[in-house]
Amino acid sequence: MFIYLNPTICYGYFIFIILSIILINHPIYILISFLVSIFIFIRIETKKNIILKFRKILFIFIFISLVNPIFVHKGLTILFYIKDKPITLESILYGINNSLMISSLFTWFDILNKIVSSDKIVYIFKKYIPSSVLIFSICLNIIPQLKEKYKQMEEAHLISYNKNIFSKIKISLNFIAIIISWQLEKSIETAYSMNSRGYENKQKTIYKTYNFKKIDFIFIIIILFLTSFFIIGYKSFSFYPIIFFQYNIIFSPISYISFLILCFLPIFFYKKEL
Amino acid sequence: MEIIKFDNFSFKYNNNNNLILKNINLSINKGELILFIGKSGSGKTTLLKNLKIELLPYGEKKGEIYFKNISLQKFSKEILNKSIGYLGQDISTQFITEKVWSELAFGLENLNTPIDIMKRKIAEISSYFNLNNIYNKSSNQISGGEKQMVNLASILIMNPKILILDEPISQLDPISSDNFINTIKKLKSNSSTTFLISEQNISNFFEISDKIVLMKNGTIDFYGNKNDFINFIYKNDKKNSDLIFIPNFIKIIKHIDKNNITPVDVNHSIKIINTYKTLIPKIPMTTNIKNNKKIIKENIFKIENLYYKYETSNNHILKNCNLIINKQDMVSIIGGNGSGKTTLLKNIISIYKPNHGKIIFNKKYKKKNDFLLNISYLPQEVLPLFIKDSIKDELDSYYIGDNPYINIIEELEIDKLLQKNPYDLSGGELQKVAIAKSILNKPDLLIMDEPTKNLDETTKSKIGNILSCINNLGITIIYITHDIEFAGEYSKTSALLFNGEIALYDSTKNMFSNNIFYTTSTNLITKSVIKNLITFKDFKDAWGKINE
Repeated sequence: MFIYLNPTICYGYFIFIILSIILINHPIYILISFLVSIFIFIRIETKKNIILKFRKILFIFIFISLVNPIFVHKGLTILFYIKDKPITLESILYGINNSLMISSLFTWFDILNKIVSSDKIVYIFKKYIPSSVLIFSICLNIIPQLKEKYKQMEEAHLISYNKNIFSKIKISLNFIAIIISWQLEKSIETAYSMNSRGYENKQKTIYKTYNFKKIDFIFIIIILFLTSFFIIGYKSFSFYPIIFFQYNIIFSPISYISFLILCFLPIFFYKKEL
Repeated sequence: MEIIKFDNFSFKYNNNNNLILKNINLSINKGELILFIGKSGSGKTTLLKNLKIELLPYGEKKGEIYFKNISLQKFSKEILNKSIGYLGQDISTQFITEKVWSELAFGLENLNTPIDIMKRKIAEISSYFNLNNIYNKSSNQISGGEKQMVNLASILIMNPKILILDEPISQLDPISSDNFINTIKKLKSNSSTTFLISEQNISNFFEISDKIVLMKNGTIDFYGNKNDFINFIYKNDKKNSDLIFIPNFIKIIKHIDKNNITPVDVNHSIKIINTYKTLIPKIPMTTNIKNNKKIIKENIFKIENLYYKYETSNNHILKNCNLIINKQDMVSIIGGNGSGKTTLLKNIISIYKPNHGKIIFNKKYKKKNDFLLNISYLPQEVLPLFIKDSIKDELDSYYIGDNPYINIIEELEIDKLLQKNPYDLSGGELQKVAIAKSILNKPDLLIMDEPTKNLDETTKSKIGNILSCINNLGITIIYITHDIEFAGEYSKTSALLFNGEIALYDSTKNMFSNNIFYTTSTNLITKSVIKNLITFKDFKDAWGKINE
C-alpha cells in the first residue's frame, strides 16, 4: 500500500521517526525502534543483504559500546579502574543506548531506500527547482553507465591477468580518467538529444505530480493520533550523573505502545515495488 | 504532396575545405519512406542533420531547404522541435533521464503540454510500443533493443511530421533489429509520417522502403524507386563496385538473367528460381562435401564440460560445453540471443572463471598467463581499447621492428585517420582500427566478438579477406557473429551454440547446407535447384559450370 501514498508523506513519516529517536534519546523507545526496524528489515530484504547488514550492526554495536565508557568518565557508579580512569555503569549503558540508536537509524534509512525509491524525491522538488532536479536525474542515469564502462575497460585490456596490486591501482586510476573523458565526450550527444527534443523552450509543464488523496489524509490522521498519545505519556530519562527516570503506570505503557504501532506502520503499508 | 525540398544545396564544415554536400536537389513527398545508402563518409548523415538544425555543427551553407514550401530558416525553434524528429545510432547517449516514463515525458514537458493531454499521449504510445512492462524501470535495467525502442517512442510522442533515423539499428542484435524494423513497418502503414532512414546495409529496410537515395562523395547518384534502383545499378555499374549494395536474393535472380523481374523478398526469389528447375536438365552435384577425415591436428585449447552461471542468476548460461579449437582454424560461433556466446569467449580468456569443467591449453604454453599473453581480444564495444589521444599514438608501437601485418593499415585505409582522436571516428571507422590493432599485436589466437558490427559491405568483405589471409599465415581465429552471410563466406569451421552447449560443430559448408532456416540467403534460395551453395560466389561458379 505504501506506493499509493504521496512520497512527501512517506519521506515525512521517516524523517519524523528518525528525528524522534534522536531527540528523545530514551532507551525504551530506542529499543522499540531498533527491534521493529530489524523486524521490518528482515521482512523486506533478501537473505544475503540481511547477513551483510547484521555484520555491520554488530560492528557498530561493539565499537560504540566500547568507545563510550573508555572515553567518557561521567557517572557515579564506578565499576572498576583502567589505568586510574574510572569506568562507570552509566557510561556503559549510555554507550549501549547510543549504539542501538545509531544502528536503528541505519536500518531505518535502508528501509526508506527500499520502500520509497530514490527517484521519487525528484518529483517532490521538481516543481520548485526543475533544473537541479534534471541534473540529479541525469546523474542517476550516468552512474550505472560509468560502472559499466569501467567493466568494459577492464575486460578490453584484460587487466585481470595482472597480479601486481600497485600496477593494478595505477592502471585503474588511469582508466577512471579515461572513462570520465569518455563520458564527457558522450554527454555532448546527450545534450544534442535534449536540445532536439526542445529543452531550450522556456515554458514547461511537469508530467508526474503527486496529489494528496484520501488515503494520504487517513495516514496523516493516524500518525497524529498515535503521536499525541506517544507525547502525552512521554517521561524524561537521564543517564548522568546517575540513571534517573519517571514512570506513570497508565500513560507510560500507552506511550510505548503507540510508539510501537507508529514504528510498525510501514509494514502495514509496504508492498514490494516493481 | 511535397514536404521537403533541397534546392541546389551545398554544405561544408568550418574546419574542412572540401564540400561535404555538393549541389543537392531532392524533393521528398509526404508519407514516404526514403532510404539513404552510401559508403561511410558519403555525406548521408550530414544531409540528414541539415534538416535538424539543432544538431548541425557549424559550417557554411549554400542554397535552401524548404519544409512545406517555406524556407527552413523561417520556422520557429518550437515548431521544428515538434515536427522533425531525429534518432541517432548511439543508443545510450540519447537516453537523458533515469526512468523510462520520464524519458517519454521529457519532450512533452518541454513543449508545455497540459498534463491530461500528456498522460493520454504517454499511455497511448506505451501501449502502442508495448512498453508497459518497462515503463517504471531505470535505463540500466533494460536491454539495448528496448532502449532504442524507448528512444523512438519518446520522439514519436511529439508527433513529428518527419522522422529521421540515422543508422538506427547498427548497434542492435538481429532480433531487436527485426523488432525495430517491424515497428517502423507498422508505423508506416498507420500514419502519414515521412521517414528518412540512412543505412549502410540496404537489405534491412529494403522491403519497406518506397524510394532509395544512393549517395556518393556528397552528391546524389540516384534517386527513385526500388526497381529503378536495381536496374540503375546493373546498367551503370561497369566495375561492379556498387553491386555490394544489392541484397543477395536479388543478385542471384539477376545473375541468372538480367531481364528477370526484381524479386520482392527471399520467398519470391525461390519461386523464380524454381521456374528454372525444369529448364536445366540435370544439375550435377557441383560441390562435393569433402570427407571429414578425422585427422588429429594439434589443438590450441580444449574446453571440457564447462559450466558457468552468473552470480545473480539461478540458471547456468553454459552447460556441459565441449569445444576443441584446432591450430590455424577459423571458427565462427553462431547462435541466438542469450545463448551464451559472449560468456563462452569470456570464459576462454579468463575474464570469467568457470564453475565446473576446465579449459586445457596447448602444452606450448607453460602457464595460463603465457597463453593469455599470446591472444588478442576484440570486445563487442571497441571504444575502451583506445586510451591514447590519437590513432597514431595507439598504433605507434607496432611500427617498431618488422611487423608482418603492417600493410593492414593501408589496406583498411586507416592511414587517413591517423591524426584523429578515437572519439571523433564513426562506429565503422573505430571498428576497422580496432581490428587492425588486434591483428598488429601478432597474436597466436585472435578472439573477436562481433567483428562485423557497424561495418558497411565493402569494409566487411575487406576485413573478411584480411582475416582469411592472416589465417593462412598461421593465426587461429575465433569469432562470434550474428551475420550468417559473413560466417558462411569467411570461416572454415562453424559452431552453433544452443542452450548453453555446442549443439553443432562442423565445417562451415556442412553446417549451412544441412540447416533449413538458419543458413545464408543464397543457400535458402538455391537449395531447391542446386545443393550445397553457401555464398553468392559459390553460386556464380556453379552457374558458370552449368552453362558451359
